[in-house]
Order: sequence, then structure tokens, then C-alpha cells
Amino acid sequence: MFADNDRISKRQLLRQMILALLGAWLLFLAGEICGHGQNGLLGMLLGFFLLALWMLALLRCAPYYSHMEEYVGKGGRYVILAFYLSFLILTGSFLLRKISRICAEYLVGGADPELLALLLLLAAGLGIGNDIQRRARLAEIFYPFVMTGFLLLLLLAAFHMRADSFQEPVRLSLAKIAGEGWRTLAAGAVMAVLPFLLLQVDGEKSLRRPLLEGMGKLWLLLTAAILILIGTFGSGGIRRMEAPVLQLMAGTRLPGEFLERFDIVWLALLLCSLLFALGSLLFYGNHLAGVKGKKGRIFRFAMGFLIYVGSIAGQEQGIFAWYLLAAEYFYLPFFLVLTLLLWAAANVERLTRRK
Amino acid sequence: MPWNRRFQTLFVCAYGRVPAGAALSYGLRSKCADLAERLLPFLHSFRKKGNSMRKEMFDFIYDVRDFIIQQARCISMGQNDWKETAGPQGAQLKAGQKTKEKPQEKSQHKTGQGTPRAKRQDGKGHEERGDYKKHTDHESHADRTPQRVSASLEENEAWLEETCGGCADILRHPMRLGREADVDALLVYVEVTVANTLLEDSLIGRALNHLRELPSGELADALDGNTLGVSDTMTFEDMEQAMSALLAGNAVLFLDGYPKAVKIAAKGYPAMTLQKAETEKSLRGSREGFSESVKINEALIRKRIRSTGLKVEELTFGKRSHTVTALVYMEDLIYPELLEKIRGELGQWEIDGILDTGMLEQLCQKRWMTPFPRFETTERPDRAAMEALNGRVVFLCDNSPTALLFPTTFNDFMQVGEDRYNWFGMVTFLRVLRYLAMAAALLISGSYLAVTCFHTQILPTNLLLSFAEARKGVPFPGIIEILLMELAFELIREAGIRMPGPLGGTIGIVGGLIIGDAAVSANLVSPMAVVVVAFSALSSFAIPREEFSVPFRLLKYGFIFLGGVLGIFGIVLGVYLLLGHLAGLTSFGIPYLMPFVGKGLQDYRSPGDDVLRKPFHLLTRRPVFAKRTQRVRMRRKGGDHVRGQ
Repeated sequence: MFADNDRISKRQLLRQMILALLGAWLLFLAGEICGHGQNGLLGMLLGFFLLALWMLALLRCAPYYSHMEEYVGKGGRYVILAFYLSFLILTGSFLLRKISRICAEYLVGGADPELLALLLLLAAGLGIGNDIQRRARLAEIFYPFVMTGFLLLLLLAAFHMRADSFQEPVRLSLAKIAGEGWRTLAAGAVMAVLPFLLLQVDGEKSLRRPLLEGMGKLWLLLTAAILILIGTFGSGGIRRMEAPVLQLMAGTRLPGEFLERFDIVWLALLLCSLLFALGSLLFYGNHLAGVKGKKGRIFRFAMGFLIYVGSIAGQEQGIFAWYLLAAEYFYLPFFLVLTLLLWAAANVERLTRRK
Repeated sequence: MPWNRRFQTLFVCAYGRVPAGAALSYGLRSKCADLAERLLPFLHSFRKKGNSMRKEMFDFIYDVRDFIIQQARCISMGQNDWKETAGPQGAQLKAGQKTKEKPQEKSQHKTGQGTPRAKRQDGKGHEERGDYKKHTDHESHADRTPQRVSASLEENEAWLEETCGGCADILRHPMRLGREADVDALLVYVEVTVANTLLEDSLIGRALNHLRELPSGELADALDGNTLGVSDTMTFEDMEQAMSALLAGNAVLFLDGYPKAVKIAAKGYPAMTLQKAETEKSLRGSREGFSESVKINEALIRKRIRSTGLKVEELTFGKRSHTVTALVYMEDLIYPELLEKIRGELGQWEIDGILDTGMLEQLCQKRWMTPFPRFETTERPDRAAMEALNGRVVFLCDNSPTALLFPTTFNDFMQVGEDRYNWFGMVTFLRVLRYLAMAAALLISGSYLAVTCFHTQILPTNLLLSFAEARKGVPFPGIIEILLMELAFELIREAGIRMPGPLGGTIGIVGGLIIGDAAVSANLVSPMAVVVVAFSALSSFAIPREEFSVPFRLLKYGFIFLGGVLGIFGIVLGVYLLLGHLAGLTSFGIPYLMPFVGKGLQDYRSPGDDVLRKPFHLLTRRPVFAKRTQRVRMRRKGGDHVRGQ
């Protein structure tokens, strides 16, 4: 029977990947990239290329990840698990703080962001649950709505573009391109949890295509969004905005203008994607720890609590001040090195067996 | 149940202090089996570590486990009764035989201070059981010691007197049969179930008249050989079986000198005849609805599927009601696991009476907190037959005109029986309309509050001003206003349903028009709130199945609260939680959101019958319920090359 095998389809993998990343990347990455104009766009292209390569490596190494204990021992596995969990908790805190601030500003004016953060966390955790198939089905259901909304937004926003916004002189800088590339790669650092899921996807040996397709679609959407943002506001204008996508939404109107403003609807769709991303972090935490049932619920509660504390801790900037730096210069290198080491260890073992 | 209590139960059961068959429900028994399975590894590890666990304790737990598992198998095979041969005594004997080899217990036997098991071997176990039965609430005819039909009519009469004493509706009609009228006989039946016994046109009347004409010596042979020519007759040697036949609405004949009881079919209990399906009206297709007799309902399905592939499996539930239920399915189309699951679910319960399919439905739902039904109901035999052809199982229950269909999905509730009979374009349009109505029923009141309380910038200025104008003078905040109106509507609806006959409609008119108008005039509510609530109510009526509109009617209040307190933010959280909940639901292993989440799953191709319906000649595949090897429903004769001719 369908619901009994604890596996998901390639299509579901693709959809949950896009849904989890699209909202967050549009909100955070698009603005960053736009601020650097052509260098940003080329850097993002480089970043996506590197991300695709890393994903293929992760796909190849997926069995080694699941048998990590054989290569690094039990203690090593626990240390690595702790790194992963700390990364997921910090990412969750960062995301939660950002979403709650946006909601308090644009959706529930005057509400306490900390209360909204709590509600968001509860909804994200309860909605996605602890079941891999449930999460996949949720993605499958949300995907058409969110994608249709974003495509419609981009289409309508495209009419606001001005040609003179693109008349910026070309000043390419390799350092800037590399920097943006690395930043894009860091934004995709959360992909490091992918190998733990891949073994539960139907036809795990032929996942290259859906993974690359997902990356390709995300790149296309982001590039289109960035071009529209640059075309609408210009690179200079974007640098002064905190979340340019929200400004784009606010300025986009429906044809006929039978509604005064429609940005609430775009924001609602963005919120769906962000909730899914937040819930996914909780899901992966549980999945990595491998606890189920009552213990699983306690674990998720504890993880949620830490995410919440992380999101409200600190003054004005809080986790915003250092999360991106930690992701770029600590976690991403760690994940890349781990992939390399596991791949090397597995190859050495294979060669030893052959001999 | 806490672990220590489970352990205690296991040992109480094992040592025979409580006769397992009478004391432990199926669920408890299976829990004990489960417990024994779990205990064994622990005990093994315990023994390996050199602990002085008594060996006989192991043997005993093994015995109990085997016994319980054996019983669980008996029950899952449809034998609801705790079998005497494998009953507690059997298990105790088995355990006792093993333990006899042990020196400690040998001595106990010798001294006569044996365990309760030993007592049972002495025959005292039966006494214990008897004592228990005096106190148990679940005593029924099925628990009695089987009583054979005696050759002496007096003895049979005495048994009947004891059993049926106080049942004024069970009539005992003494008579004399045979040509010389010298053989005493007794006809027993439930009043009303048997037609006039003397009339020639009744089956019993003809049979009795025939028996009056035979010589006395030939009566027994006539009954044994059914020379009466009665199509539905049967002889019983057991009084309990005879009583069951009697209570099922047949007449039972006892003859002096003949050690059997003869069942003669009668007209049975009064029941409503075939009628139109009230809750599933259609413009096209059969008008027939299910009746309240399970046999007639089976026949109505069989009438539409005249194939021996259609299997009808009858099961009896209810320790006192002995209600006949039937699982109807196409044997080659369904997953056998489905039947096992439903049998397992039902087998877990012992209940005094089942009076409707709704009771069975609730017993079989593991996730009982969800408001979304996992069984679909239908009153239409044509729909039941169609679903059997789709690979679903139809569950009928005596005295209920409603059949259950399972497994079921969200999409099934949004379809109506006549969808198959109409042009695909219109069907698609209506389905889209129904889905929109469903969303409106759930969200419109909450969204109205969200927009008017939090996001007024969405509305064009003119509309906003007219909203404000309409609300002028209303003393309540928007959320209270909407809640009041919604509750008032539910009140009118409930009153309208419960009111007899034409009064129901009157209540609707009085409530809807007069009270609504008066409330607006008195400035209790704004006209816009009335419009929103009316639209929401109308939308809930467009959901085809009543049982499926219930969750939306309930959840609507949650969305009203979320929209009124948190605006669109709350609505998004609510939708996310709701879809997350639906994504986690399954019905007998089939995801509830199929076919929307099915694309890309292994060996699955959408049948093209979800929100958008394909033209009928393209509906070649069965839905996900059917076996993977049996998914093709229709193909053109002669292959694809003739397509389009």
C-alpha cells in the first residue's frame, strides 16, 4: 500500500526542496545579490554551479553518511551530529527571527514579534510533523499554490521594470564574483542534511536529475526575481532596502485594480514557503537524531525551544549579527570537508577490500 | 495500561484466576500477547546474566504466549468466540502437563495444594467460570453451555421456558401433527415475523398443512428429507443455533420424538421497503436507495454486479444484538490487506450492540481526534456497486440504510454518484465549484474578519467606506458579530432538521428572513455580516456529503478566531496546520490527499478523475484503491487502432 513504505517519490523530493528554499532565498539571498549588480549575478551563477557539484557529491556519498559510524566511530558520529544539530538550530533561530520581524511589520501591525515567533514555530512544527511522507505530501500540496503565486508576481512585476535601471557600467571583479559565489554556497549549506534523506527516496540511484532540476528551477526563479528587482528599483536603490522582494510585492498590482493592494496575498504565499522551511529544520533535526514516538516529540519540543531562545536572544541585531558569518566560515567549510573525508574514507575502504 | 498492571493481567490470565475467555476482551488479550512477546527477550537476557529466574516461569510464559496468539488468530479468522478446545482450560492443561514434569509442582499435586491450574484440572475451574458469569455484564446466550435439542418435547419446552421467559413477543404455539394428530409439536417464533400459520398462501401454513396429512411415522423422515419443498429450511441439533435462527426472524418447529429443531423461513422482521436515497439526490441515474435489511442491500448490489467475483462476507457483531454486517467487494480488485485490517480493527472490540454503520465506523478509526471522516457513506446501491468496481470495500450493516465505503480519500467526498453519468465538461465545472465552495465555507468568515480588522488596505476605498457605513451603530466587535451570526445559523439549521415535516422549512424561513432582518434593523449585526455568513452557509451546503461538511463547519470557527485575532497571518497558520494534518491522514494505508499527492509515486498513474474529469472514454484506469495489477478498467475492443472510429 502507498502509505506504508516510509518512502517518498523523486517528484516529492524536488518539490520539497524548492518549497523549502525558494521563500528563504528570495527573501535573503536575492537582496544581497541584487546589491552587487552584475558581479552578484555572476557570483550567484558560480554559487549554484558549486552547489550542484556538491549535491552530486552528496548524492554519491549518501550511503557513507548513513553508515558514518563505520568510518568515524561512535564518538565521531555524535560529534558530527552535534554540529549538524547546532547548525539546524542556529538556522532555525535566524529564520524565525527574520520571519517574525517581517510578520510583525507587514502582517500583524503592532504585535509582539516574540509572540508571533512562538506561534510560527508551533505551527511549523505541528504542521510538518515527524513523518517523512507527511512532509512530502504537504510540499506536494503547497507547491502549485506557492509557485503559481510567485510566477504571477514575477509576471506582473515585470511590467514595472525600467530600461534605464540596466544601464549600469560593467565593472566585473573576480573577488566580488567569488565572494558572492561563496555566499550563495553558504545559503545552500542546509543541503548538507540531504544525504540523510536520499536513501528514503524511490529510485535512490537515479536522483541526479531531480536534484539538478531543482537547482536549475531555483536558479531560474532567483535570476528572474533579481533581474526584475534590478529593473524595478536599480542596484543603487536595492542597497538601501532590507528586503527588496517585499517592496516589489507591495508595488505589484493586479490588472483591473479591483483590489487596492494585493501584497498581503504574496506575503501569505511567502509565509507558507518560510513555514515549510522552518518546519523542515525541525523535521531534519528529528530525522538526524533518529528518535521517534514520544521521545521524538520531546526532542522536537527541546529543539523548538532552543530555536525560539536563539531567535529572541540578543538585542537589536541578535542572531543576525553573526549567523551568516558562522554559516560562511564555519559550518560550510565543515560540511564540505566532511563530504570529502567520507568520500575518501569510503574509497580507501573499497580499495582495501579489492586488495 | 501501566506496565505493572499489564504484567499483573498477564499473570492473572496465565494462572487461571480469571477465565480468559470471559474476562479479557480481545484488545486486552492481544495486549497480553504483545506483552509476552516483549517480555521474552528481557527474560532471556535476564537468564543469560545468571539470575535465578525460575525455569518454569519461562515455560509458563511461553505457554501463555502461544495460547494467546492462537486465540488471537482464531478471532482474526472471524471466530469471535473464545474456543473451548483452545480455551483457558486447554492452555492450562497444556501448561499443566509441562509443569507436571517439574518436581516442585509434582509435590504440590500430590499434596493437593496445586496451583489454580491444578484446581481447574479437578473441575473446579468450571465453577470459577460459573461464578464469574454470574457477575459479568457480558453474559449472553452465546456464553451458555451448548444444549442439544432433546427428543423429548417437554425438555425442549422447559429449556425454552427458562430461556425465553419474560419475552412476551416470543410466541410458543403448541399443536398436534400427523394424520392421526397424535404427535405433539411446538412452533416458536417472534411475533410479527411469521405470517398467519394457518393460511395456505404462507410458507409455514403450507408446510404445517402438509405435515398434518402425513402418517405420524413419516414425519421425521419428511423433515429430514425436506419433502415439504420449503426452499429455506434447516435442521439444528443445538438449541442455541435454533434460538439464533428464531431471533433472526424465522419460525422454529420442535417435534416430540425428533431430536432436532427445524427452521422454516418466515417473512422476517418488519423493515422499510426500498425507498429513494434521501441524502444523495440526483437528477440522473437510479433512484433506488438502500433499505434497512442487509440482505436486501446485498441483493441490490448483486443486481448491479452479476459476477461471482463479487464476494459478500457476512460477519456478526454485538454480543447481545447479533447484528449481521456484510463486507462486499470484488475479490480480484481489492488489496487483501484491506480486509485483514478491517477485520483486525473490528475484532479488537466486544460491544453489546451495533445498531448502525456509524458505530462501526467510529470503532475502526484509530486517529479519532481528527474531524475528517475516513469512511465514505452512501445510500445509493449504484454508487456502492461503482465503488466496488473501483476496488473499494462496501460495508453494510443490518438495520442501516447507509453503507460505508473504504478506503476513502478527500477527493471522493467531493464527487457525487451521477458524475459518471454526465458530460465531463459540466462535471468538471461543478467539481471546481464544489472545491471553491468548500474553501469558502471554511475561510470566508475568517478572511472577512482579517480584511476588515487588519488589512483594510486591500479593499478599494469605496468598498471600505460602505463596509464602515454598514457597521455603523453595531455595538459588537466584528468577531463577536460573526460568531453570533454563525451560531444563530447553526441553531436554525439544527432546529430545522429536528423539527417534524413541513415545520422544518418554516423554521428556516422564520430564522433566515424574519430574525435576520430584525437583527439588522435592530443594529445587532451589520448587513455585510449577514451576507458573509449566508454565503458561508450556502457554500457548506454545496459540499456533497454531509459527513464531510461537518469538519469544515467546525473548523470554520477556528479560522474565525484566527482571522479575527491575527488577521491573514492567523489564516495562513491555520491553513498550514490544516493541510499538514490532512497530509498526515491515511485511510487504510491510502493517503487521504490522493490523487493530489500521487503523481510520481511508484506504479501510479492518475485515473484522471479528480477535480478535473476526463471524458468518459479516457477514464480507462481505476483509482488507487484497486490492486496495482488490476488498474485498467476499460479498453477499446480491437486495440488502439480503432480509436476515433
